[in-house]
Amino acid sequence: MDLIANLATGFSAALTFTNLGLCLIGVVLGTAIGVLPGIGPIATIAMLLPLTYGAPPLGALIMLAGIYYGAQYGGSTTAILVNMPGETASVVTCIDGYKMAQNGRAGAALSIAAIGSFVAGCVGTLVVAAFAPALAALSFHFLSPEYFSLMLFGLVASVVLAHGSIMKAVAMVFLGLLFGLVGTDVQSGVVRYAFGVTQLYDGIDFVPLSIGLFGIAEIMRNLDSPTAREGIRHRVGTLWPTREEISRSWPAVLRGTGLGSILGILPGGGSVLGSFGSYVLEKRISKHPEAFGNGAVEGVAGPEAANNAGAQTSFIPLLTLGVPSNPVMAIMVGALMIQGIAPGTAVINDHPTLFWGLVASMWIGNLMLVIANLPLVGVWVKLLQVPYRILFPIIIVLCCIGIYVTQMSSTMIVFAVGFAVLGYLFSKLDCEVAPFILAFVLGPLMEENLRRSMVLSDGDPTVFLSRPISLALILASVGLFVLIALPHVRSTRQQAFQDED
Amino acid sequence: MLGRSIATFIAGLGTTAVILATSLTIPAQAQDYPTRPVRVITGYPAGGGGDMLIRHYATGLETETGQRYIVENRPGANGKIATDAVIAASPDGYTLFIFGSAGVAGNLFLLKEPGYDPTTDLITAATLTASGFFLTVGADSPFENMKALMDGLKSKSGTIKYGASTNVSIAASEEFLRAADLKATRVAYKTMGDAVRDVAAGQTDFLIADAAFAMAQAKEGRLRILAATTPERMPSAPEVPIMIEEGLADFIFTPRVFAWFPKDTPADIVEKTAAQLREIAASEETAKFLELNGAVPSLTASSVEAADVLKQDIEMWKRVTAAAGLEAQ
Repeated sequence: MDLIANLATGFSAALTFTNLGLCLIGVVLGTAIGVLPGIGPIATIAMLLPLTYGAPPLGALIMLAGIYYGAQYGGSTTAILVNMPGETASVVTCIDGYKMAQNGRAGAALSIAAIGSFVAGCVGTLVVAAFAPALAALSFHFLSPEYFSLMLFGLVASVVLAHGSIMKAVAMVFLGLLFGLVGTDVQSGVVRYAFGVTQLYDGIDFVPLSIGLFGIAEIMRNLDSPTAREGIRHRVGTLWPTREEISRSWPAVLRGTGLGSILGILPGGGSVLGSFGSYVLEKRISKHPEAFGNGAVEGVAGPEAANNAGAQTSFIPLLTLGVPSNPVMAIMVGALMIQGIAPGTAVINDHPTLFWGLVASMWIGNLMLVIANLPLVGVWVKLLQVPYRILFPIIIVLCCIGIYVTQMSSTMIVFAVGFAVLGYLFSKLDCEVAPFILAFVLGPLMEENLRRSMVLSDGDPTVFLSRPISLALILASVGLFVLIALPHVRSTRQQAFQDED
Repeated sequence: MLGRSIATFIAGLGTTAVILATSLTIPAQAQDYPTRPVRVITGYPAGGGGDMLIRHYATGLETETGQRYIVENRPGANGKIATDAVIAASPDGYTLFIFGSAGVAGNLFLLKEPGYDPTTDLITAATLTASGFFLTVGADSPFENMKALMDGLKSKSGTIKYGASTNVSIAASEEFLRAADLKATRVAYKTMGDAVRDVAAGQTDFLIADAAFAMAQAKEGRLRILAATTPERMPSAPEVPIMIEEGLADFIFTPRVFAWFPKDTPADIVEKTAAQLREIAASEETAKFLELNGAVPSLTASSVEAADVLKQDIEMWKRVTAAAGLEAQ
């Protein structure tokens, strides 16, 4: 009963004219930046943060949250139509979504992604509403050893996901870990691999790295091979999925929602892990694993649901513990502080209207997205149908502005160019970027938690095995690794990816 | 919305161009200074608590002068990037630097080649705020007060451990250990949230956190506040005893935020701005704003006095970096 009363409070707060307007602005803006490759939600939210100084706290949060989950929708549109992830969480959507587009099923892929995201968004919102207070307890069981083991599991999973040779995937993981080492060591304060460049003292910035590797490298690749350039010109086709596509999608959506909701709560790489994890899961349990990489609708439905569910539930650690689970949530902490609200469990108790209003706005925002987006697909396609010779300079300029404003530094643009060249090399060498980027993000967190576990346990490495959750995660990682190393599984895996190439 | 931010961006570019163009002409006259927008560089990232503080003072200066004060966030390398940008800026009075001495003074000992000397490359205009810190333990900790904690730590069998997520919290903890004559192992964190989690779970023995954050965490029953590092009890938490009352005679730790100009900035411009800043710092509005953020105004009578305070901060950073075993990089 409490829940209903609370949601009623929330809806009455969120349904004011101003807040509805801010929600709409947020989701439309979010979708647009999600659609346009190269500017992600992090850069946009950071750029728009100063605009919220004057807004009331709830309205500001509603708009910023709208940008974030709107971008999840928009990101999938670009992934499907152009084979470019609008942001990291939609990397896996490229694999099968783009294949569907090549098979003339772009419209169906877009609908399924949108509806899957909507279902996941609604469920995710309910999860936030119902379990935020209770789920806070789950994170309490996660101390440094558990986090280390969780990240280890994530890295092993990224090898399973990678196309092509296992050796290359493992190499990319290690390369990502090496890049993650750059910067000041947390425990000792030692600066590593910065070569006296002050911009590297805090590590390689994620924005130029991801925009370079994904955005600009992709443009280089497109300009390099004329055949790949027609990507944008795929016919969208009918938006209606076939009966078979629907019946294959809905279980995947539900599984993706479940997985994404759980992984979104865990601080560190939540929504990305969710979409990757869901893809692996779908492929594992599918009767037709060979279809994956060839336009399997489950490979779109599951991860899309997972990343949207994760986007919603990643608000749980922020609003309950004041712990941001990803860079976007970290900026949200800033937004709360600007409004004079110290993030923490006190938010739910001291500012119930804020908490429940935000929860209610997420549901409203998701509804707006599905209503606005399916009819608007045409507009987004138009946006992407602009001839490439016009589009790519615009994208590059937008990328550069996005990179520049995050630090007000032109050095960042130089970094982005460097990473673009690296990304181009990777694609020439058939090395996948996903394991690299995951290792780059997870590596520093993993190291931090490993070193901290060791300091806290006075140097006793058995700490990872004596704690049950950590032990389970380590066993799961070892199991997964043995599985991919087995000759039988390895050949099946190679078979699966070969079909796709 | 996007349009507006792009407009702001373009306006920013325009301002930069104007600054570049006019800096080549006649030096500014103090009586009509400022005649064009002033940029306020800071090392705090956009959107955090530090940024709010900068914007509070920038807005105050705008009200005083009728000119725009544009905050430029240049985060990174513990403020070195911002400091370098200020030192390289033209000393025409149109670049103001508002930042904590933790970065400007701390970097002198954290970096092998800081590349600057704040006492000569910068002109100290004013001290603005002093932040209060609280020493906390987990809410379930057996230690109810400072005396119990110190007795407990002295008789502890294993190593004493403290959590810290920033250079400031390291400095505060090392100053406390020195005053209490204790030795402890530092456990490093990237975020305060993680540090709170571990001290609440009993993994570390104590945590020194900024006052606003510690109060929010204590309110929700995760931390217990034992003492404040301020010279007097904080207006926002009058029930919390200060370290001095708890028997740590000379223990005061209140990291300050300063306002600086690049060296060679005309003295009359520095003094004019310094007087305006002192006025804003002393206003009731500022006191109210700071109370919310767990800080108090830091008032000095003149820029000379402010420069002396900076020298004290430099000494303090020299001491704590040595005590914490932080090697210059």
